[in-house]
Amino acid sequence: MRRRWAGRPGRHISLGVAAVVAVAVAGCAYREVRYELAAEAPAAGGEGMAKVVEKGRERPLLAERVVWRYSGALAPTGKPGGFRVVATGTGTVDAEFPTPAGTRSLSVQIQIP
Amino acid sequence: MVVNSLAVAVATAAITVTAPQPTGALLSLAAPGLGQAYAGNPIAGAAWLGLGGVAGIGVFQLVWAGHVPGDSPFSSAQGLFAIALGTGAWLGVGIASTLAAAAEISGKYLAAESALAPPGDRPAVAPAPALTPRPAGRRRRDE
Repeated sequence: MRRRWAGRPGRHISLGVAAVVAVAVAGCAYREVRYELAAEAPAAGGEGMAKVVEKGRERPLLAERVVWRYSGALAPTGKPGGFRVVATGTGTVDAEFPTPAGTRSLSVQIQIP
Repeated sequence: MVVNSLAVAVATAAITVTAPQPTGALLSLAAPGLGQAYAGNPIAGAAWLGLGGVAGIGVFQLVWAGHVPGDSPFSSAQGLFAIALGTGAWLGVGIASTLAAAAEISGKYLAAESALAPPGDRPAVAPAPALTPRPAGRRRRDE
């Protein structure tokens, strides 16, 4: 009995390669993910918290997985994401965090009256 | 870096990142390095493409060595064998490139996913109410 596909293996290899490439091309659309950094603006002498949220699923990032940096009128507390006001003027919160596209950073400036 | 300044109770800033999909790594099967280029690493992609070219042509030359220039490899069994081995070397580098691109893309996804707080960051089961002792001398109706 003659096998159905006998004699034309090259065609099936080509179809397989074409299918794999088609899947790859179809999967090549980039996925967009939005992140938001929010920081409270406390009064002079007060303390505040900052957090990063993945907006699509509304899921916050673990504060300890974010690299926090504070400058100007702000200084870090011992808690990840926490800061306290040490002067009046402008303070800046920088957050560096992992995303599916690599490490990204966000920054907000807070006016301390 | 995105900077936003607001003199309100809560200051916010946002960024939208475009992340490659893990299935895009399969592009390296078509040509080594395409998956890396898609993942945002064109230098690694060029290196993989060069490696694929060197491997394919090198293997072909090794098997086809000794023939006078102008001989067509399609006209002899040894030539066809050389073409098959060269193509195999090219595909082998493509498979290795695919795995490397998949590992790179998946690694970034895993890093981002592990940084997220667990969904519904609250106790899964509400704590049971505290038990209060029944007053002495009173019995339930069914006892």
